[in-house]
Amino acid sequence: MEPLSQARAAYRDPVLWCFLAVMALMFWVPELIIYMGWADFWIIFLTEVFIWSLFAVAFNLLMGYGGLISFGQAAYLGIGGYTAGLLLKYIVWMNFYVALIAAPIGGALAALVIGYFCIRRTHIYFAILTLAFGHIVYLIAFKWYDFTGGDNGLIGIPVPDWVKDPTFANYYKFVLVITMIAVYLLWRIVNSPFGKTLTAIRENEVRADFVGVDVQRFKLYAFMIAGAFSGLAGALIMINERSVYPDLAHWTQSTQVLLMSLLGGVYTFFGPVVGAFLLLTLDADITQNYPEIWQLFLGGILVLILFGLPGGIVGFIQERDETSADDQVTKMNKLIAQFSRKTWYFFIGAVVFTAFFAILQAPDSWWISEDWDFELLSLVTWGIIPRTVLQAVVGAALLWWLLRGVRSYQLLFRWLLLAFTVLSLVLQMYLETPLSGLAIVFLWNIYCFYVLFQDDIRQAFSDGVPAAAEDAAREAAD
Amino acid sequence: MADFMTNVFFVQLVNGLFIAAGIYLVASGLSLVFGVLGILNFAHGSLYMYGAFFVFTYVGFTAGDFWPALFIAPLAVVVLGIVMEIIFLRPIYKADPLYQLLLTYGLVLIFGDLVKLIWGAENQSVARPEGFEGTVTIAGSLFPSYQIFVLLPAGFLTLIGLYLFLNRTAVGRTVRAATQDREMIGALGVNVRLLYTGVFAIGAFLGGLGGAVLAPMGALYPGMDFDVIIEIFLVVVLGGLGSMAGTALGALIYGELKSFGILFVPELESVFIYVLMAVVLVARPQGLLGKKVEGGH
Amino acid sequence: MILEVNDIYTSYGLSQILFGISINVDEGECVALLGRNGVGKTTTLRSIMGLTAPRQGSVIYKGADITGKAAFRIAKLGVGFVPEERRIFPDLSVRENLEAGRKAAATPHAKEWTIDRVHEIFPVLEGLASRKGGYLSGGEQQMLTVGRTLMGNPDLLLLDEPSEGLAPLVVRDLGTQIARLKDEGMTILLCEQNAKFATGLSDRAYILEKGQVRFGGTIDELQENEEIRQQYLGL
Repeated sequence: MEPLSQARAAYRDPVLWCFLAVMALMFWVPELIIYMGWADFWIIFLTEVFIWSLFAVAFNLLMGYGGLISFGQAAYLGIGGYTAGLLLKYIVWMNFYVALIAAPIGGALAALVIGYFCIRRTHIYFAILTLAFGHIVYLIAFKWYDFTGGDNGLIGIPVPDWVKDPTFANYYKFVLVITMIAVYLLWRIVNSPFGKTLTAIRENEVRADFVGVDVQRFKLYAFMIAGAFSGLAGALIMINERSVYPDLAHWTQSTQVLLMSLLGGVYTFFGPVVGAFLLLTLDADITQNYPEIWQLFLGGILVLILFGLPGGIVGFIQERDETSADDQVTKMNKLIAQFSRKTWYFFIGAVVFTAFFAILQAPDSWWISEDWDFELLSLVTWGIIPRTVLQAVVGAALLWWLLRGVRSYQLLFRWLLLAFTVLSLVLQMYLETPLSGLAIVFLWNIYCFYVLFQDDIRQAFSDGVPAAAEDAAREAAD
Repeated sequence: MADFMTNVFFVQLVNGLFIAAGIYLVASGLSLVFGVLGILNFAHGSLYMYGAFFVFTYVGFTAGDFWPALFIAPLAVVVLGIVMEIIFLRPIYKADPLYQLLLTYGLVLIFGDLVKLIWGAENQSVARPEGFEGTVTIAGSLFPSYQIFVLLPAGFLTLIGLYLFLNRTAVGRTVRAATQDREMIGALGVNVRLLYTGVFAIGAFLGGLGGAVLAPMGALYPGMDFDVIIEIFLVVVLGGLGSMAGTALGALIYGELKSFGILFVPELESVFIYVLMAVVLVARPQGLLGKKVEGGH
Repeated sequence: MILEVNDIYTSYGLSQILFGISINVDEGECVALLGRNGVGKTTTLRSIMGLTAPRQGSVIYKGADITGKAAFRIAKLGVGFVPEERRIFPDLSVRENLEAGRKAAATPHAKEWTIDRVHEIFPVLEGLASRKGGYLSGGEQQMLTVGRTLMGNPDLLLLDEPSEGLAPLVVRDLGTQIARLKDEGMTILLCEQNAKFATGLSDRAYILEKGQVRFGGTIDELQENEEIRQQYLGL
C-alpha cells in the first residue's frame, strides 16, 4: 500500500473522532456544573486533566512510539512555564498569546540542547542523562534567585482579564480547545511517515539504520516535538495558577507523567489521556485524605503494573508474540498456569491495598477489636485485616472458579472476567473500603484489558507496520 | 596574599576529598551491583537513606552509642536488600534493562514514603560521636575531626577493602568474571543466583554504610535518597559503568569539582558540576575508565 | 551411554531453531556434530548445557534427566562446556581464568585437573600466565577456554566450534591436543563446521540441517556416503 493512502485511511480512525467529539461535548461542562450547582473545583480539576493529558500524550510520543524513556520530562514543563511566566512578568508590553507561543518554542530549544547530549545514548544511559538534565533545570529554577525567584517562585503573573473569570469557565474552554488542537497535531505526527519511522527505529534501530534512516536526527526531532508540547503544557499550568514554582520541573512530575502513560497503555495513542484522568482522580482523592502516601501509592501501582502484565510493558515492545508453535492444549495449559499465578497476584494485591488504606482510615481498627480475649462474641466484630484476608480469599476463589472454564469456553471466559471486575467493585463497596476498592478494581481492569485485548492492540499496531515503516523510512531518507 | 590563596586551595582540596569519600562510599555499591547484576538500581539511594535512618534509630535507642551503629545499620540494610533482591529483582534479571529501571524506580517511591510513615516527614539529625565533635588543625587550617578521622578512613578502607576482595579472593575473582560474562560463569558451575544475591547484599551493605557514615554530617530527611541517587548515578556513569576503579575516580573528580565549584560559581555550583559532567560524557561516552561503548542496550 | 538427547525442540523467543534433535554419546567417545552455519549446532549444545532450555523433549545425562536444569547444576554434574567465539574473561589474567573454572569433579577422577596439567596439554599457556585474557591471540584464547573448562574436571566435554577463525597451523595443533584429551579417556561432543577437522578426531558423526538430524553414523559410513557428504558438507 502507498504510505500516503495508508495515512489517509488512518485519518478515518474512529477513536480519534470519538475523542474529539467527547472533547467537543465537554465544552459545555462548565455550564452544566454551574447549572447543577456543583463546586467550581471540578472545572479547575478538569482543566488540569486536559493539560496533563496533553503532557502525557507528548511524553508518550517518546516512550510509546520512540521507545525512549525520559526521566526528566518535567524539565520542559518547567521551561515552558518559566518562559511564558518570565516574559509576562518582566516585559511590560508582552502579549499574552506571544508568551504562550514562546513556551513551546522554549521547550523545543531546550530539548534541542539537552537532546543533543542525551539522544546518542540509548536505554539506561538515556534515562540517566535525561534525569540529570531534568535536575539541572530544576536546580537552576530553584537556586537562581535573581532570575527565577528561586524557591519563592514567580508569583502574580499578569494574565488577561478573561482568564480571571470567577468560575474559571473561560480558561477551561481555552485549555480545552488548545488541548484538542495539540492532541490532534500529535496524532497527525504519530500517523505520518515520521511517526512510522520513529516506530521502526524503536522496533529495530540497526535495521532502520541499514535502510538509510538518520536515526539520531529522527530521535532528536521526536525529543524536540515532545519538548515543545510539554512546554506548552507547562505554560498552560502556569496560567492556570498564575504563578510558577520550581516544583513544576521537579522529578516527581516526571514520575507522574510516566505513570500516566504506563497506566493508560503505552502502545495506544489515547492511553495516556485515560491514564491522566485516572491518576489525577486518584491524586485528588488520596492527597486529600492521605497526603503522606501519594508516592507510595504511585510506586505500588508501578510495581504492580510491571509484575502484573506478563512480559512487562517494555517487554511488550521487544517481543511481539509468544511462540505460536504450541498446539492448542499446551497453549491452554500455559494460559491456565499464567492465570493461577494471577490469582495469587490478585490475592496479594487485595490484601496489601485494602489493609493499607484501611489502617490509614482507622488506625485502631486494623486487627480484631480490643476486648477480643474475653468476649467470645466480639470475635465476630472483625478487624479490617481479617476481613481483607477473607475478601481476598473469596476474590481469589471466585477467580479460580471462573478460570476453570478456560479450556472450552474462551469467549464466555472473556465476558466473565470482565463481569468479575464489576463483581469485585461491588464486593469492595459492600465492605466499605471504597478507595482501595477503586485502586484494586482499577488495576484489575488494566490487567484484564491487556490480557483480553492485547492481541487486538498488537494487531492494530503491527498491521502492516514493518512494510509501511520501511517504506516511510526510505522515503524519509531520500 | 599568595599564602592565603594556597591556604584556600588546600582547604578546598581537602573538602573535595570529604565529598569524594562520602559519595564513593555510596556509589561503590551501586557500581558493583550494576557490574555484576546488570541492574542499575534506582533504589540504591533508598538503601543509603535507610542506613542513615537506622543509625538514627539505633543511636536513639542506645542513647548516643554511635560506633556499633556503623556496623549494625548496614547489616539491617543488607536484610532489606536481600528481601528486595529475592522478591523483586530475581524475576526480572532477563527482562529489558528499562523494565528493571522502572521497577527499581517504583521501589524508590515506596521506600521513600515508608520513611515518612516510619520516621516522620521532619528533618532528623544524629549527633557526632563523642570526641569527634570538634575540629583539628592541619597545616594551619581547621577541619572537622569527624570528617578527618571517620569519613576519610571509611572511604579509603572501603576502596582498599573492595580492591582486595575483588583481586585477591576466590569469590572476588568469580565476581569479576561474572561482570565480564555472566552466562559463562554459570556454565562453569557457579550458582549465579546465589552469587547475585550475595553481590546485591554487599552492594546494599556499602549503600547502608554510606548512609551510616554520613548520618552525623547532615540532616536526615525523606527525599535524601533522591538527592543522592542523581549524584551517584553521575559518578558511576562518569567513571564508566561497571568499572570499580572508574567509580573511585569519578567520585574524586566529582568531589573536587564540587568543592572548587563553590569558589567560582557559588550560587550555581551544582549546576556547574552537572554541566561539566555532561561535557565529559559527550567527549567520552563510555565514561572515563569504561571499556566499550554500550551496544544494543 | 553418558548422554542421551531425545527429540528436543528449542527456540529463542520467536524463532524456533531445533525441530526434534536426537543424539547420543557413549562413554569415551568423540562424537562430531556437523553442519553449516545456523543449522542449530550451537543451540543443541546450549540446550544440553541448560543455557537455553528446550521446550520439548529430554536430555538424559548418566541416566538422570537434566532437561531445563540450571546451567551450574549441569556443570556440577560433570558436563563441561567450551563456548564458541572463545568467551574467556578478558580482564582476568590467564591464571585467573583457569582458576575461575576450577571445581571439584562430580565423580572421583584418577587425576584431578590442575593448572600444571593444563599447561602440559597446552604448553603455550604457561608462559602467558599473568597476561590478561583479552590480550591473547585467537589460538591461545581457544586453548585457554578449553583449559578453563578442563579445570572443572568434566566427564563430558561439549566443544563448540573450536577451529572457527583460527589459522590452519593453529587448528592442526588444537586437533592434536583434543586428540590427546580423547586418548586420556575424555568423552567429547564436538560441534564443527570444519568437517575435515572434526572427522579426523571423531568416532561417529551427526549431520544437522535446519534443526533436524539428517545423518547419524560412524565416520566410515559417512566417508562412504558420497551423497550425504556432498549435500550437507560440500566434501
